[in-house]
Amino acid sequence: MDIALLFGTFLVLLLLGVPVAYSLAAASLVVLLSLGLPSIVLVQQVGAGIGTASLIAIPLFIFAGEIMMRGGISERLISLAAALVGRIRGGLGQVSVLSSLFFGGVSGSAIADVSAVGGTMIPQMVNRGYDRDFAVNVSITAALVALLVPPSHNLILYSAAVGGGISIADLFAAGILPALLMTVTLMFTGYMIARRRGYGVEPFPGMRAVMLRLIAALPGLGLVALIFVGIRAGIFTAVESAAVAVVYALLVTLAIYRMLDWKAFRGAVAHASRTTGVILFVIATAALFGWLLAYLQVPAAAVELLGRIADDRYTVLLVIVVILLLLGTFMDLAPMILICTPIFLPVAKAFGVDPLQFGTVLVLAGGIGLVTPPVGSVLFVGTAIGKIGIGESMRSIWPFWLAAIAVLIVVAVFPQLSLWLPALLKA
Amino acid sequence: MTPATTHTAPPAAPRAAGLRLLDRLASLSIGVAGIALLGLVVVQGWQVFARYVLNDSPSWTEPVTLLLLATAMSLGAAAAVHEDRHFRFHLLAQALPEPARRGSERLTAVVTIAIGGVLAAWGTRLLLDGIDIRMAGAPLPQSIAFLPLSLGGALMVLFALPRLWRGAAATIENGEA
Amino acid sequence: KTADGALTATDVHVDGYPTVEAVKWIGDTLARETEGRLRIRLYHSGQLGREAEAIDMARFGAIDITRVYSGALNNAFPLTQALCLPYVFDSVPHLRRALDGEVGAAVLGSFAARDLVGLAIYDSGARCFYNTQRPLHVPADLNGLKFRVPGSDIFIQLLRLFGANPTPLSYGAVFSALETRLIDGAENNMRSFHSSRQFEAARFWSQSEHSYAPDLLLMSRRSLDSLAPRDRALVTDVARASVQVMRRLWDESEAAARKAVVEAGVAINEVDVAAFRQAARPLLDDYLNRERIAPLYRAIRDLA
Ligand code: NA
Ligand code: NA
Repeated sequence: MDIALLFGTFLVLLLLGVPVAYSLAAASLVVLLSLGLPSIVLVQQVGAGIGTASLIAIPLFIFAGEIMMRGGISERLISLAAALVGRIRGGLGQVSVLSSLFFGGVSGSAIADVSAVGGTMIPQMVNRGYDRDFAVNVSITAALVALLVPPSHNLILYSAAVGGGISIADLFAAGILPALLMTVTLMFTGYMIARRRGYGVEPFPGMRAVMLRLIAALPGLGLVALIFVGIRAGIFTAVESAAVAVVYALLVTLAIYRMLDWKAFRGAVAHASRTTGVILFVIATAALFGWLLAYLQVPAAAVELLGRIADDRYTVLLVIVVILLLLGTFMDLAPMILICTPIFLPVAKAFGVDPLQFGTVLVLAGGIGLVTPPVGSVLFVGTAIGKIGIGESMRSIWPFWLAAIAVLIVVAVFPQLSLWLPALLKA
Repeated sequence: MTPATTHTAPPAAPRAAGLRLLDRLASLSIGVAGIALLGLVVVQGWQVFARYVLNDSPSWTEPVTLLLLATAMSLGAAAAVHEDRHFRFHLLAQALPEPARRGSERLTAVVTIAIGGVLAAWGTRLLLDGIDIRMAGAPLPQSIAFLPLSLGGALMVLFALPRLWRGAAATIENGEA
Repeated sequence: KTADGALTATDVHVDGYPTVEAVKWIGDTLARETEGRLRIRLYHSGQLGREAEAIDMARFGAIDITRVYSGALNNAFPLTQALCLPYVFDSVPHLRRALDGEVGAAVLGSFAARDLVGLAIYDSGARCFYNTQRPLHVPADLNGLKFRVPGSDIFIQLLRLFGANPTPLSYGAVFSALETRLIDGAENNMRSFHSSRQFEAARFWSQSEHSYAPDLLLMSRRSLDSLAPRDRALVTDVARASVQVMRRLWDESEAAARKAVVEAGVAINEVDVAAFRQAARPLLDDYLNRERIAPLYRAIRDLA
């Protein structure tokens, strides 16, 4: 009853045009009152929703991206990339996916990834004649790669939710092949769409031009290297790296490129603040909504359903995947991992599914929810950066969804994909 | 999203004095949110500097960071009410006839006022509740992060009020101020 | 209470952790004694959020019962500081004597000031240092090492005194921070060292036993008041009785955790406890000057 009230109120308000964040908060408020719980929970959970340190990376990477874009850093980086991959159709889309693979290994977070990679790539792809929806969609689905590349904080969260029986090193190893498969699949999807839409190819400008562009892009490459090496070597956290990126980008653009004047700087700050407010508020209200999903034990209700329809290993896994995909449309990834692991893992284990494989399936399925409406933080960040409506993104994102779901199903059906590498590294 | 393309105020209509005041207030909110954002850079940067150069990890940086983050979110989100920038699905509302569209705008205003009101009222209550307790690691009240939340809630109410009777967003073309 | 009449309880620890099992035991016992009239619905693994929010949610009646770490209560409930200070307890038996007597009663009673009822204190063993670099024998060995501390002033100050560089970090971020060398070490009890898998990254455990900061089981004053008088007494009695259940589970699982960690190749060493105690002395003296802590400290030491 309360579950129906929660989803019903949310969907009705959403369809009537009430903003996502306010629909989430209002549905939660209605259910809090109906349960007789103090509405102070609303304020507390909205506050708690942004009380996690890793979220700070979002505004800072958006800010760094603004400075890089207005200060000429992105332009030079993309110009170099275009020289190298320009002969491939939709080459910049490929660059987006590959940067996610490399950068994802650094940030370990899909949201940080889409803010950092998307913040740079989306505006530049638009400048070079790509459609906005393509630029956004390829960048946000590319962020899924980051979920499984170590140090994925989602896999660490999963190991915590399991209760400590799983080696984190093994989990990291389990995620690598699925991540590579996702990378290849998304690059292929991007290429097919680029071919159909007839995005132009750029002639190879010659080695001399590549060298010149490389030199021009060196300070920008330095930023990428600084973040990558800095986090890998433990010099700073992902959040600190975002602040370092801002400072470095400011120094480069002020001292070397001399492109950022006071007005452009103020513009960067104002734009980043606007985007930050909108994104963080929807993430905070989604946390409140997620609190109620947990309180009302929605995943447990889903597992009851599962018990009625599934009786062999593949059916169980596929039904779990479907339930996770459905839950993922509404829930954020971290609460999904915390709530679903204790509920679904025992069922999966009973049917002979290895916890390592289950972890990669759970994180992937929940991760796809990050790029689906109505609640998807990566989708929100990407569309805000690309300045397009969610509806606009949805109209053409489905090939990427299908590609991601296909990878998910392959990972669910073939345990070797997750289990081969950990076994190899152990031996 | 992308409200500017879906609700356009009558082009050259002069904005009422009250609305101009709200425009100023929204700019001010964005300004404060921007300062909080710069503050985040400084605090996180200082954290790195202190750890390596001073060989000391200041314990105040985390609570201050979260306070700045709450400030950037609350004021940015409040200004977004005035500028109609929050994520929303216009598909159904756009297909409706004009009176129904106004109804949708009024509903949005009512919901925004309700949520903003709860944030303002309970945020203040939580702020006062923990004001005498010191936060671990920093000489600040434990409940200080509720200050921007309640302030942001109050601003949301203020920015949504004119839309309640006008039934339309006070959309302005957003220059990068 | 939930719509169907169950009491809600929260814990950030995972299923199977001794505190989680102890609260389950309370729920089962209550259900048996009242023929299902009183039940507990337990949300473990932090499903309903972190400890800081859980305390306020219980105060305002959004949840009924919560299990929190005493360090998180230090500033709002100053008497809990006496339980967290370094080297106030000599051993687990000493700790348990104190918690079962007037010291425990005084701390539990202090929650009434802010709409809470202290139900029980769950001791959670000795906290020790572990790190990625080397065995620690004397405080000087911590010099220059970066240690994660929980968000508690006592632990921040303590690590400074030992010459380490205290880095406040959330519990969940510790593993990857150890892996990437952002921090060199952390401190916790053996059970958490094992269940968080941090032993995979930090290979040196030094038996410093610098704090015995326990866990607390708290109940919302409003929720308890809403029960019939005989139910109130039943809830508090069963909760008190759960301490013995929790201790048995704790001792078993701590021994199992230690064994597993040793088998995984972690080097465990004894430390010069006297030297650590000496180095921590200024912090202790500072807190002992506070008028509410001093009598509690004397009562604890009288039981040594
Ligand atoms: Na979604
Ligand atoms: Na989601």
